[in-house]
Amino acid sequence: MTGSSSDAELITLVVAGDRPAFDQIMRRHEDRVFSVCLRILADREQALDATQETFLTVFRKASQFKGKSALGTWIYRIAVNTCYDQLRKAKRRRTSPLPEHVDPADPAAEDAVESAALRPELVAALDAVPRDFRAAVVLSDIEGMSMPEISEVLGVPVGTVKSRVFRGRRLLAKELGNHAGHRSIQDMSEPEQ
Amino acid sequence: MKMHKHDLDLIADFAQGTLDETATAASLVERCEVCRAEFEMQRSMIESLASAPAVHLSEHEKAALHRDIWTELRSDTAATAPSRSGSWSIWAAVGSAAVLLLFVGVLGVFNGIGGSGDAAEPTEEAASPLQGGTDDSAGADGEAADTTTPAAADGDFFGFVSSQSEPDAFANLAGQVRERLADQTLSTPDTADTDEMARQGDACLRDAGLDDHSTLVGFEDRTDLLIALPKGEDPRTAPLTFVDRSTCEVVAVEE
Repeated sequence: MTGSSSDAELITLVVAGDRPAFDQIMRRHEDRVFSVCLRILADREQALDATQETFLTVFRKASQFKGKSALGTWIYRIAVNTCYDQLRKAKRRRTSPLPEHVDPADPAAEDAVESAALRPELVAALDAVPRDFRAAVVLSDIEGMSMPEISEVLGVPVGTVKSRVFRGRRLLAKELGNHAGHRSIQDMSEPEQ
Repeated sequence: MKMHKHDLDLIADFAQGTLDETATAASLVERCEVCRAEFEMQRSMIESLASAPAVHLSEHEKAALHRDIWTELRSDTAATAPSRSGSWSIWAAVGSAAVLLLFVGVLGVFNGIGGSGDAAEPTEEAASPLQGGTDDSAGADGEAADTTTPAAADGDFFGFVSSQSEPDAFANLAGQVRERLADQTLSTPDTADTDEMARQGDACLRDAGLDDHSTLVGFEDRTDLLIALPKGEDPRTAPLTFVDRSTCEVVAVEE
């Protein structure tokens, strides 16, 4: 195994029990997995938990990876589903609203306070957008994934992804009180077919 | 000017920057106020979100992540080790039972040979040991029946085709699911509360190629799994399919 081994080669090694290969997969994808989770969950500690859970699932289910999509796509899909799971559990046990700002889990370790990567009002607005729309917007506009890639990650057709991204941005604008175009957004809520 | 669905699609692609030919969209945005407002709002959101700096784990968090993951995976290994030895002991028991049955069978054959060898003996006398032999073999059958009784129950085990090495676990799970269906603490989704869950489940099922299935809701014991059954069939008798919620892969199918 070398640092330039492909994801496909690495996952084959992982299935065969090669631990360094799994470490390498983690190193390649952990930042982006964490980023996706942080944007969806809006809480650093929860995002860390979700990142850990994601890689545990990747390791445990490595033999189920069929190579139909890129390994990264499969991993991000697991990450999004893990985040959805956490949101569902949080909703079930929630007695008070989720924090509206990002709370660093380990302030001592923070450099340049990455929790401030999104403006607090944007974090709060994203948090208010329904989960499916939020995930689509995060993957498209923050993570820069293509529509076909998002389609694979979310397991929905490209047309649905486009619609979710489009409507997600509208909802986000509404949450942000972006009044430029607010009237027209209301007018256009039900476009004619 | 009213905006139509195709205008929205055009504006969405224009705002996304994925149009090869932009003249039509630019013209639309130019002459339609509503379209322009929509386009500007979409662009504004895209720019706000795209300007977010990249997020990274700190070195400390990375180290903790790797450490915690390997600790967890090692405990997985430790937890599965006894079950492996357990399965070996099961195989050892099955092997011993098979040897015992073989021995009893061979004994029965020899008894049979012995019986037929005493052809001069009266039929009834010959029948007697034979009867005894039959009784013995009935006893042996009884034992065999005893050993096959769990095997029959185990028949449910092997009613599952699983991509994982735990068909017995899925059989047990199916048993629990059916109990819960019987006492009506499980159902197919039909309330607003479960819409979100149901939609996620349905998307996962579609991806798993189970478009004609629906998920059962209310089973919290294994939140990592979706329990699917064919639409329109009686949940109490329909074959169950278990789907991994995180990967949307089918992990076990009841036959």
